[in-house]
Amino acid sequence: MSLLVTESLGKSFGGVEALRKVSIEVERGRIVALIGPNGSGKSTLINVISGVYPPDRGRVLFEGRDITGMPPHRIAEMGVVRTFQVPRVFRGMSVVENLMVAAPGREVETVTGSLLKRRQVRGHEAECLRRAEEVMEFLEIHHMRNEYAGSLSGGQQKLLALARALMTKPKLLMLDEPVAGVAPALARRIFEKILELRSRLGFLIIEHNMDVLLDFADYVYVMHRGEIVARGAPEEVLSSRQVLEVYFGE
Amino acid sequence: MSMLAYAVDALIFINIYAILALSLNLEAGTARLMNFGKVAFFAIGAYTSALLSLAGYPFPLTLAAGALLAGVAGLGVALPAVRLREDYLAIASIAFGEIIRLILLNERWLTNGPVGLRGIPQPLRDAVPDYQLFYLALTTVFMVGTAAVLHILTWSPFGRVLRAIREDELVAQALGKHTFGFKARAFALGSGIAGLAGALFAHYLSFISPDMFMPTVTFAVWTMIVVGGRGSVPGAVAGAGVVVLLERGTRVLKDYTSLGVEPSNLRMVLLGLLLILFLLYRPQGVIREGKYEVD
Repeated sequence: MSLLVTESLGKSFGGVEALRKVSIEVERGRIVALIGPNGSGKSTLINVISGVYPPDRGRVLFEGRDITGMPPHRIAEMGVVRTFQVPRVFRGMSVVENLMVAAPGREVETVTGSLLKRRQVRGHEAECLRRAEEVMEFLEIHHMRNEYAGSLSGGQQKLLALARALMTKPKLLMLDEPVAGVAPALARRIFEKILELRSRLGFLIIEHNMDVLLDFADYVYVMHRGEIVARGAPEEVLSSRQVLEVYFGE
Repeated sequence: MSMLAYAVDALIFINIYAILALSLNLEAGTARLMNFGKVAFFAIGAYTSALLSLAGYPFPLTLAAGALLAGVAGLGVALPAVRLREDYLAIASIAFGEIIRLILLNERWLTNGPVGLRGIPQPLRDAVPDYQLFYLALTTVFMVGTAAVLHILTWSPFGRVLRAIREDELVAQALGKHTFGFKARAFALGSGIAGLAGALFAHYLSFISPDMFMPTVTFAVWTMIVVGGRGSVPGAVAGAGVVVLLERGTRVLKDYTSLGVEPSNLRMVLLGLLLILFLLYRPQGVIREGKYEVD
């Protein structure tokens, strides 16, 4: 069974059709890329899947369950987690706290839970910290654990956003341009890390960097004016005439 | 009033306002809930405890009832209002503050209108030799207790989510946090604590009237948390100290100078000036919010 399926999603803003009959599939263990020029509807698609906007038409299925129109926090709790194009870190909090807050903790994150279940809170904190240390080591940001997130460079913030998403124990990660504006060496490192994680989860990634896509993506969807106009293996799709037309108007 | 009595009186007011500032700090400092109607919950606590006390109920019960009713009112406001964007929450809460004040002013059958409530019983009035010192001890216990509880809560998993909401609510949702529930709880708890401060205020003065609950109280409390340091528990206490002492200072000043200004007006000018100076030159306040660090 596919991890994520969208069935003819449609979404309009005023008179503009941002999504038209968008049907995609993401399987576990696969890196699926979404490409297309600016304004083609890629981010809107991620916003609709993650519950920021309800779709006007169509359905979103996650592990076979209909999650269409659920609120964002419910969708995230189920394991569908996204990052943002601009890395939106919690600037006034330390790096390690950015990670710890992302860990699921419904039982202790209440007023009474936090005040009265002290032993449970201590256990939760120790476990959160252990996982945060693990994730920070994995993404090689451990040395900045006590820095304010707002003081990190753009590339480091992208890494932090990815680290924070991993803390939620996701099943599907949707990354909106995870390496845009990141130095090439760091960009490759981020994708190598994604590749290491691939066996455990599915990825839906918006990316423009063709070299990176050729090396790392398993499957590519091309969007244009709210529609999927091409799909397939990266080598085929990226050399197809239709894609060149979409990007360069030839 | 002797010098000592004057100092003790100032300290009692610092304690009461510190509790109020701590409650606003939880809402606005930690969670960025722009509550500009703080005075309403202070007033609900004061009037509830005073009325029940005048009806013969014992102090511990009336105090608890004041805090509880203010908390319930806070929840009532929060349920529709924290769904609003922060600037609309600010407007809605200002309106709520005025509605409560107008109710206090006009519902004479309940609140005695503009005349206010007199002769509010003072707990253990005849049992202790120095009542002021006793009340100072009592308010200190409540202030320190409130600060301790809020310190624990601020650095607990609950407080951490509130900070995340302050920084970026949409991201907090995208990480699986039901932000509406967190904001509603913080608002209700903050309102309950404000109610507690109101009850302590009413029994200390043993007289309250609607003109004590003007919007200026809210702005004084905002100044306290801006001066003290938004998000900082010790900062809220320090801010209350600075603002109360400044207020007392303007009153004393009147006796020594012949400024052509009414001291209560001068106080508002100074508070405004203090607020602007801190926002411009020291936005983190006197005591900056702590940072969570690990070894």
